Amino acid sequence: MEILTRFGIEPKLLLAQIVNFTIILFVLKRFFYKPITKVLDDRKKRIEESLKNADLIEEKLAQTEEKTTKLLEEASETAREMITSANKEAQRTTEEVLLEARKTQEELVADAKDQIEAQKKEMQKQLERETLILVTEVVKKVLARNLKQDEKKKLTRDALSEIGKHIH
Amino acid sequence: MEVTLAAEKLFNIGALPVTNSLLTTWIVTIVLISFAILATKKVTAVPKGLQNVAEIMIEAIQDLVSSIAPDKAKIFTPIIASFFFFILFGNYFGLLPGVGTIGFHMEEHGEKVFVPLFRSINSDLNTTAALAIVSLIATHFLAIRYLGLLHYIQKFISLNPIFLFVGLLELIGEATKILSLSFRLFGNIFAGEVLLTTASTKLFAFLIPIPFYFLEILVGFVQALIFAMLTLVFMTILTAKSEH
Repeated sequence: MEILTRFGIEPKLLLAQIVNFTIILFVLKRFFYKPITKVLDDRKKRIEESLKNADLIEEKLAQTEEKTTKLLEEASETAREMITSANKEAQRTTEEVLLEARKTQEELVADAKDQIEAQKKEMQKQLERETLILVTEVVKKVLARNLKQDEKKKLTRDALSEIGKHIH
Repeated sequence: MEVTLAAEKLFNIGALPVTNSLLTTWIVTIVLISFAILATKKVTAVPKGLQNVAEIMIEAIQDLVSSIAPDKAKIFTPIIASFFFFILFGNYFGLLPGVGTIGFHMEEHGEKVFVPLFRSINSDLNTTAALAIVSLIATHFLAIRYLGLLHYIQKFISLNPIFLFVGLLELIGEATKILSLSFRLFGNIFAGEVLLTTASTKLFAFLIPIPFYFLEILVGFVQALIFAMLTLVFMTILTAKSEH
């Protein structure tokens, strides 16, 4: 024990140091390690969560992209189909309209021809009649001055038959 | 000027004799706790200032403890870290200028002796012995907590004569742990104090002590680490379930 006194060991001092260090231990544990380890753990947890979330988001993004591509493809396919069918329809309609127009035109032309023919006949008939009257008048006037009754009659008949021959 | 083995008594508070090393211990305690409180005053998810330092230190110790005792790291870390920080702060505080050099002359046994006001805390055997005792008590307390009283006693006392002898040896070993822990720390830091005092008083006070100061910075860290590591190893061994 003599050596311990030489080293300055004194029970009271020893106890004071023990109490002192015990206080330090508990104070540091309560006010130092606890909040710091808590914040460290929290951060670790948060980083893990963030990483997990990032993975999830990436996955979702890929899914969405895939879906978008599919939708776009479908849309373009539909659009193509619609355009093709519209083109066909248009072509058909055009053909129909053209056909109709041609038919109408032909009909009209035929009508017009008929009419012209009828008019022509009508005019010919009228001309015939008028010419007959005129000739009769002329013959009447000429014959009335120069010819005898018999000759008059004969000439009239001849002329009439002649005219009739010309007309028919 | 000489460094005495025992810490010098400054004054008395009631029955308690206050030595210069006890006074320094109180100052170190205040500094350490102030640092702890300042660092954790505003704990934020994004660390700032002192919180960064605290996080780095605690995370390093936590990793160290986890590598040796993964399942008990949560219980061990505060104790190990406290030993480490207290010893480290004490050692470095003892290196500050003024510690060991500021003092006054005192009449003792008819002789005039120089009494420094502050003394590196671990160059007093009272401090290191107190640390060793706390370390041992904590170790045994945790051993009882983890093993239960029966298994704890079985570690030392057995009906088998061979294991009884082994247990007896282990009991002696536990007692020598206090001696080895306290004297190792005390010896290293006291030697450092003597070395620095000699270098700056007997040799030359300028430039020459500088390399020794770097040496002491290293020693101060290493000794703190050794004490903490040994405590950690003792705890791990004693709280482990024995084979027999």
